[in-house]
Amino acid sequence: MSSESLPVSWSAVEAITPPLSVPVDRLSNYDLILQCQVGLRPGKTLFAELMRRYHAHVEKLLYHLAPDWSDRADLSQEVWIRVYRNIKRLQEPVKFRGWLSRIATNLFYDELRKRKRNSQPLSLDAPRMLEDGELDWEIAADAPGPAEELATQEFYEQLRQAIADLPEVFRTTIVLREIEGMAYEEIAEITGVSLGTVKSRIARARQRLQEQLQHYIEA
Amino acid sequence: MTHHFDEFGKRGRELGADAAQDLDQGAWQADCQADCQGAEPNSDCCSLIQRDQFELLSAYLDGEVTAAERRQVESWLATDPQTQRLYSRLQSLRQGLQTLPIAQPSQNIDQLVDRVTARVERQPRRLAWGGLAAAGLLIGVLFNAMPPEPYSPSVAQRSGSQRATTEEVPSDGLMIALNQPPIAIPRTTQKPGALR
Repeated sequence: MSSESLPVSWSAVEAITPPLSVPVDRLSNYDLILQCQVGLRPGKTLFAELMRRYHAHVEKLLYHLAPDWSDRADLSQEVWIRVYRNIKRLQEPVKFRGWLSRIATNLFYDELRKRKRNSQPLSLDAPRMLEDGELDWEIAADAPGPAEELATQEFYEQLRQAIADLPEVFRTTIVLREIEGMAYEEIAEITGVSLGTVKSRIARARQRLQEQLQHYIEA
Repeated sequence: MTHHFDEFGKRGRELGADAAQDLDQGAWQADCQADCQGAEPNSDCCSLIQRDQFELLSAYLDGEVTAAERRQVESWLATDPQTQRLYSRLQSLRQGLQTLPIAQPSQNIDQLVDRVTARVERQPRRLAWGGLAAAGLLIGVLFNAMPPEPYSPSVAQRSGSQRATTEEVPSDGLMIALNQPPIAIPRTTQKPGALR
């Protein structure tokens, strides 16, 4: 539906953007984002396509930031509502992915603060929620059954568990670095700590993970 | 090159002893695991790669090092097999993190699209209703604020009862007077000298 793919908009905008000649699912990511910025609000079909393309990214990020939250679905819904309302303000469409990550991360942090305020015990499932600096450096207990031949699935399962077991500040930092690909400076800004702290947290998270998973990642 | 590396190695070892004391159990290298358990924390093996060095290696992996630091790490990587092994483990770890699939998606994408669409479509309608309500309220307020004099004789009688000044202003002119205070006609509250 052409009226769907090109949102009804004021004539001033139509002068800038040529009408769509390509089906929505064949647009490049860049063009899709540009089209979503046309008009007062993104067109329905366009925005649905945008969600389809980037949803997995949001899911993955939220999954690792908040592994033990049962309401992540609501959070990702909230992310997309914000994207919908603010996509026009995105200055550089090439940076959409990073922008999206920041929206998701900021929402996660807002929610985290709310939850910390409202409930004193962080989580019964996470007895290792330690304050910064208390991540112990001792050697992790041997992983059960260091068999020679280990399926990738098992490795992923172990890795997922190891990430979830990291104290929150270490987990968020390593997730923003490895899954988000954020620069240290960006992480420092978003988490409100110094560059040195970011560097140290990343190193310590890695140290912990590589110890716990050494059977799987040994060269 | 080698001379430089040796020098750093010595310094690194000294640093390592400090770091190990700070942490009391500083077992940095998984390779050293067996040797380190129960051993002196600053034994050669354990202090081989200490906190600072690990941090540097980690930052190097992220490209977050200065030129000098990069050279330093590269010289370790060129000569030290343990650093090489550690580095390769960190690379595998990174690969694992980046390719890690999500266990189970929290929701189906079609459902999500439907929910989000429903919510953003509900928004403008709510706004429209809100706007309508506000407009209604405004109209109500305006009607109430309208001077009732031209329509109700009873009020006209009241206004004539006390003040001489308001009596002189015609009811039509009252509206104008509110927007553009008539300078020529001094109000009773003003000092007589203020206009001259």
